[in-house]
Amino acid sequence: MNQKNRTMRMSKAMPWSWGGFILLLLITPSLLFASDRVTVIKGATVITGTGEEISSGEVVIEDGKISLVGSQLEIPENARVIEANGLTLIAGMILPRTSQGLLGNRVGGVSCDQTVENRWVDEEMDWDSFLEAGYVAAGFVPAGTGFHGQAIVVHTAPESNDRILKKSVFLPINLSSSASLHRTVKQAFDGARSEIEGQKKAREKWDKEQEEAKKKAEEAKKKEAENKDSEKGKASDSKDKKDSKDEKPQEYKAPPIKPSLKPLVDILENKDEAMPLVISLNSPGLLLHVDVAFENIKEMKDRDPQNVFILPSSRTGAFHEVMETLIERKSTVMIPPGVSALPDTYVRYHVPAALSRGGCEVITLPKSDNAAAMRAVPSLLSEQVRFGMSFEAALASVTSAPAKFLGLGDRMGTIEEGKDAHFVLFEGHPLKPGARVMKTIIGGEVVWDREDR
Amino acid sequence: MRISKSSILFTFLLMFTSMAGLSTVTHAETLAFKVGKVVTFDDQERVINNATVIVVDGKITAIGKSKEIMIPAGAKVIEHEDLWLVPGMVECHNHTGGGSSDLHDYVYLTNPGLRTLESLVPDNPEMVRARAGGVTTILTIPGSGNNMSGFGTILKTAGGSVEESVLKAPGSLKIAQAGNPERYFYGVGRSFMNFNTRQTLRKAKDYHLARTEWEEGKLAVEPAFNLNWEEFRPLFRRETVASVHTQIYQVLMTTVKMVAGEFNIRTVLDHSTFDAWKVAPLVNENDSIYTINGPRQLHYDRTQRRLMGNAARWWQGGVRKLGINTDSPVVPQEELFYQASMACYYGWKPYEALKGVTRIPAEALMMDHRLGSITVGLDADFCLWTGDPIDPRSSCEMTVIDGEVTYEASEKRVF
Amino acid sequence: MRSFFRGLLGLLTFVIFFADLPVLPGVSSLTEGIAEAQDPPRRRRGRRMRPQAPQPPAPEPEKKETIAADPEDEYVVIHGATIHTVTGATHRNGTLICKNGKIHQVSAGRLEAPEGAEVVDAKGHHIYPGLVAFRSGGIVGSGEAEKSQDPFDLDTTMGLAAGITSTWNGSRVTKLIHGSLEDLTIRPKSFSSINYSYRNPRGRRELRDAFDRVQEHLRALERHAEEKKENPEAVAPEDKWIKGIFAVVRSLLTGQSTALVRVSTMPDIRAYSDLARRYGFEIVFEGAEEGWIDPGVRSRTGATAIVTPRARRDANESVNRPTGSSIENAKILHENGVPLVILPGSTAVALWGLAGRDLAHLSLEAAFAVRGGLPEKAAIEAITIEPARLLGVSDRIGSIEVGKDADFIITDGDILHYMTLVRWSFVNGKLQYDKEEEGLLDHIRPGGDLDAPAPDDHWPRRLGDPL
Repeated sequence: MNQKNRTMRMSKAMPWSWGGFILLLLITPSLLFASDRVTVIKGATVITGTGEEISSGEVVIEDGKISLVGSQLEIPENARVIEANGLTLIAGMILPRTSQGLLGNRVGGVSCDQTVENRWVDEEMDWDSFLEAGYVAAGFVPAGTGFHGQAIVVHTAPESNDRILKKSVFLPINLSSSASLHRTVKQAFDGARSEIEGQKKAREKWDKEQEEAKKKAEEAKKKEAENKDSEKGKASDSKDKKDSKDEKPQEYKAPPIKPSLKPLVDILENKDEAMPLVISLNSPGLLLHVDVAFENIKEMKDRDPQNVFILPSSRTGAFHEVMETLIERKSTVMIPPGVSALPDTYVRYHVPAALSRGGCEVITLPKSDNAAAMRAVPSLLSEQVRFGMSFEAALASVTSAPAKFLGLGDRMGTIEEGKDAHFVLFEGHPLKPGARVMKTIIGGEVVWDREDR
Repeated sequence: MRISKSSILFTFLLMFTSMAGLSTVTHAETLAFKVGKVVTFDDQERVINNATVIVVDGKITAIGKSKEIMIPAGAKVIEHEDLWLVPGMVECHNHTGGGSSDLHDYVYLTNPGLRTLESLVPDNPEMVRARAGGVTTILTIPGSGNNMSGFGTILKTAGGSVEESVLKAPGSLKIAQAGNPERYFYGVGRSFMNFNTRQTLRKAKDYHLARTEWEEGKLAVEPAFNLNWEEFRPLFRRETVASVHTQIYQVLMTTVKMVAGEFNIRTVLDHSTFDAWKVAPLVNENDSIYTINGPRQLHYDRTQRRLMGNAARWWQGGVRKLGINTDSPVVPQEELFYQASMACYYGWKPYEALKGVTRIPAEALMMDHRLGSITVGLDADFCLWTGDPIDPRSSCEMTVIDGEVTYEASEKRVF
Repeated sequence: MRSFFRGLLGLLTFVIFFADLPVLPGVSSLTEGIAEAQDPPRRRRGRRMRPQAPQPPAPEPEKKETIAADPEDEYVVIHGATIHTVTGATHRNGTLICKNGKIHQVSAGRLEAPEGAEVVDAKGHHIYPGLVAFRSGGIVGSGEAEKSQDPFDLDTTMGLAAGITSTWNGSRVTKLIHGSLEDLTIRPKSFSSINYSYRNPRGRRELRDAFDRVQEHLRALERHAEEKKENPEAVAPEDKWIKGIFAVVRSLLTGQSTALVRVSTMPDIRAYSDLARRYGFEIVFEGAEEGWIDPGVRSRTGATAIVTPRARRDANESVNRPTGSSIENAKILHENGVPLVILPGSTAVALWGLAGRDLAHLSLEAAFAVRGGLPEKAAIEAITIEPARLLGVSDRIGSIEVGKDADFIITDGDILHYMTLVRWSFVNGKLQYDKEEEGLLDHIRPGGDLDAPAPDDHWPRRLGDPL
């Protein structure tokens, strides 16, 4: 009886407390969101990447996206303000290819299905080094040679549950000798072709079986029709029903395509979801060999030649011989900065600047795949400008060009309305020597601040 | 007068035999060479077509156009209207005088008391090939494994004994400034090598000066005789030369400044390869330095992606006392002429190149009063060639040393 | 007295008729005159025929004025040079026209160039077929060159500068091409290797047994073919054991392959020659330094000899027969009808300093063969058409004939002269090497100037000099 009373009393009190609770629940998010819903970066020199440079500019961020860019904007009162105090704001830098911090063995052969997803431990990755260098996003590939996997683009915020921005972005190819290039490419596409043929055969086989089954069913039906005259009854009806049930067409289950070859199958069949190939040109002659290797694949013969390349950091070979071809094709080239010399001479020339002036999409990579090299990129960008690259191209080579190549150009790469709010605040102009990253912002949140170190 | 049949028969036989022209020559005291061309490299640099050279007792006594030269009575005439007569070639950097062994003895970083005179093997197979290649005089020096490996000997490539073939001993002092000596023992660097070379030369010079004073009566006590330093005396009297193995321009600068400059030694720059031509202005300041380039005739310049001919670059730098060597057996001795061909391939000029294997090395070794050119009074050391000697298509048909035919291709062609 | 003069006359007569002594001027022709007086003058038989060059097609009249050309066709025209065709005549001041990578016309005298042709004025120069280096290391990629060649390799350029346009890389006959991977391979070529050295008597016995056994097998096959006509059930002789050395031997006996052996001594040469003649297979000798001692042995097998004129093998004084190498090796072999291919001692390009002993001076190695007495014509053939024949590609390269590939070099002098440099190299009708442009040798005798100044190499460098 007492328990009942207590319960009754509690249930009487419930509606009020419940209501209060619910009200609290309703308000809190708006309280929370009200304080985070709008973030403003004030007082920065904003280099948008689209050609505009706004001194004492402001960027308004809502829900992790840029909503306004300009100066002397109207800012909501409860907006969170990030004071830039004259720092320079650029879109977050993007590193399209890296294998830092990965575990496990190197990948070899034709393994287009390998990704980094089972090769890293998120909590143990050194995101800090990316953020300190100013990189807000990175394309990870497994380390290795041959067709060593496929790239995943992630953002580099330290703690995140939804890090992945895009999967299956591109297929890297890394081969050092021309002989292994020919061999591996042939092996890869022969494999893909045999998968396609296997699929075709399986389908044909199934079709044939269906045909035969249909025929059998028709013959059975005929027999039925004959028998129907003599035998009337449920038995035959039920039999009919059974037959009709059996006649219902089965779903065709295609045999699985080998995952390591599936992306190549997509390429051969010219599907929309086919990933682009990114080929490392470790020596200049490899460019000619790449063309020959792909011309030898009959499905690829009439298509445009390969157009995305990674040039090495040390360019002591005759790279000047292939520059013209790259410019003619308006290739996309990922290349570490640096001056080259004509082989066996002191005559200097600058490959990235020349390619950029010639109309290629130049993407700047760090000189080597580690933290110190990533930090050195902005100062090396200034060296690129000194050797003839334009400011715009140099900045684009770490922001909008990699974004475009990775297929994230509508989301990242420049400071424009509607794009993700990933930025870097530099002390000093980023392309002048001495610039340092002061703050890195992802999704409107400051995820790295030099003053906190 | 009644002439007997037998005497007439005898006269006819005599006529016939003399007209038949005996082709075998053992040793004629007087020879007359009638040839198509003589390249003399004498002081007037004469080249005479349809010429005759008279040799008496191993010396050249007359040179001139065949029309103008009187062949002495009793001379053995060797007539080859289609051949050239060129002075015997002179090799400044040979290691095969001792046959193909006995290249080098090195115990200390400098052990100059050694002499190749003791290791000569006269008329060894390499010498036979040298003669077949037109080389009549060689300076055999020890190797370059240490900084000062001994004294070399100048000898002719014929002669059955050392006494017969040796022309001058000491022929030169062999100094190696850098390169091979760096591998000596535990490995030594240029600072130590140059110090060591200097102190050795200093000690030798001091000995020489002391002995000179004693000889002039200025000293009371005779300075002790020292086998190591005694051979240096002609060097400091400038009666013989130093053959210096030196290459790369920094090392050549040391040679020019230290050996030639500081110690006032007549210097022959052997090798002088890689980019040593850059030292040409310094070399030109010193009249007694000879540059004998080889065996590398080509240098791939990795700062300009160019193939440079060493001799050509020296010449373009203004050096005129320029010759060529083989460093045999690195390049076989009989291919001394081919080194000259290669120098021309890479930019030098043929007449200068031929002079660079005949007259210039003779001058470099201070032997030009005896050989290196076709001049009256010089030794009869020359060869008969089927054409331009530095054209590989020509061959040496006959080699004459001291007036004796020491090689005849028609008997047995060696090269 | 009379008897004396009779004796004298007798002696004189004896001398005049039976000895070739020039007793009187012009007397030596006396005997000849007598001979002619006895026989009626005959027309000289065997008038020497001038070697016929492949006749170029007579140009049509309208071609002489404005040669209209199909814009698709690529023409290259070389004027003014002396064209050494090697298998035909030598044309002075001739014209060479190439169309689409093949030789189209060769003629003495000037021909008008088709429209749009690439014209090269080579006055004072010489055109030779591209040299063929029988063996090489490093100047082309190995195996299938299209897959392994570095198109920008310096060694390839050095080979072109030496005049070499084709070589055998061990498995394929490959061209030297700079900057492209097109049309590199001419055709695959391989040789068989057998060991019949006298140092291995047991091996020799085994090899002979292998030959015997395979020969017997081939006869059995023929018998079986006959049998099969009557008895379709006949069992073919078993051939599973034909592996390894037996397979090699079979390919030799059936003529599918040629043996390439490296021999130096005369006894070895004799042994291999005997083996080749006994079993009737084709053989090629490489080295053969002592081949000159008994050249007949070689010529009887019809074997080609690949020689290095300067190869040195010292005579062995302790044996009682001639031994050792000779500079006259090439001449003696040639006089005995042995086809010759010339290779230098080192078959790679050496840039480290010793000049003239490597592949980059192939033509001078041939000049050394001339030193030994080989005719110059044969020496040039030994580095052009003979290696092409040996490699089985003489239908495409090795000489300048209409229809062959346009692989030729334009030199500033006689190819066997020691100062001749290659000015232009063409392979497949495309310019692969230009001495003045390439920068390696352009400072040496540019335009034939013997007194050219040193290249401008910024030495000594001054502060502020551009790099």
